[in-house]
Amino acid sequence: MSEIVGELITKENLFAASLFPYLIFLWFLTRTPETPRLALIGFYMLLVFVIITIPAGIYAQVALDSALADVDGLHGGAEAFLTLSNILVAVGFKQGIDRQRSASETKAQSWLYPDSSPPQS
Amino acid sequence: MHVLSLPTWWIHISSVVEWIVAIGLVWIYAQATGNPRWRWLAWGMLPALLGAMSALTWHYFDNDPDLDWIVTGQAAWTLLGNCTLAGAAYWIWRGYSPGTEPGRSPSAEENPRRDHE
Repeated sequence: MSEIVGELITKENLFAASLFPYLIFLWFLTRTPETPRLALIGFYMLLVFVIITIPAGIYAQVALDSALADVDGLHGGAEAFLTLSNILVAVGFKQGIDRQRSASETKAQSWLYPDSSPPQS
Repeated sequence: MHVLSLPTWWIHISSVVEWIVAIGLVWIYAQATGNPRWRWLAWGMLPALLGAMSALTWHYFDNDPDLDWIVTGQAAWTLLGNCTLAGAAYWIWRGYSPGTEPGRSPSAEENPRRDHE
């Protein structure tokens, strides 16, 4: 029994299995109105990174007889998509924070101007 | 640590720094929205960070095939981390009761049925 488990728990299988909970994550985040739009785009962009590693890894193995991590140009190039998606997530939440704060400032100022809208900063 | 070129190292370090910054911003987002459930997302983003550290460790040792178990560890952290992300997103989504307008956070006054964290 433990041999079978040992055969199944490979890095390839673990990486493949990790995709399913990630899709569930995207499902619920998409249906949450409060999720900042750019952050959501960033989390979807991560799928682009994942998808790109597949042909990159295959090419490295078949054409260059190497693992993807050992072919620097492909490795760095693929990883750039992860860097991009993470930037979008970070900037997205920053934008979300800024929007929430300006929205609550506008609401807080409204008592000063009951008959007209507050001045825009 | 020379199997990776310097630009590739910078790409890796950037993506890790960005993820850490994102975790901090998610935490602040919980406060900005008044919705403490977002903090669970920040916590849920941590296992992925451990996966990233595993990957960087393996790269530091020039992708040594004898250290392949580190990559298996990275894959395990990735699987766990994606599960914690999914759980956090589910928890945040669950915090919304019907009648919450899109784009607005569910405040206690508007949604008295919503349980408090």
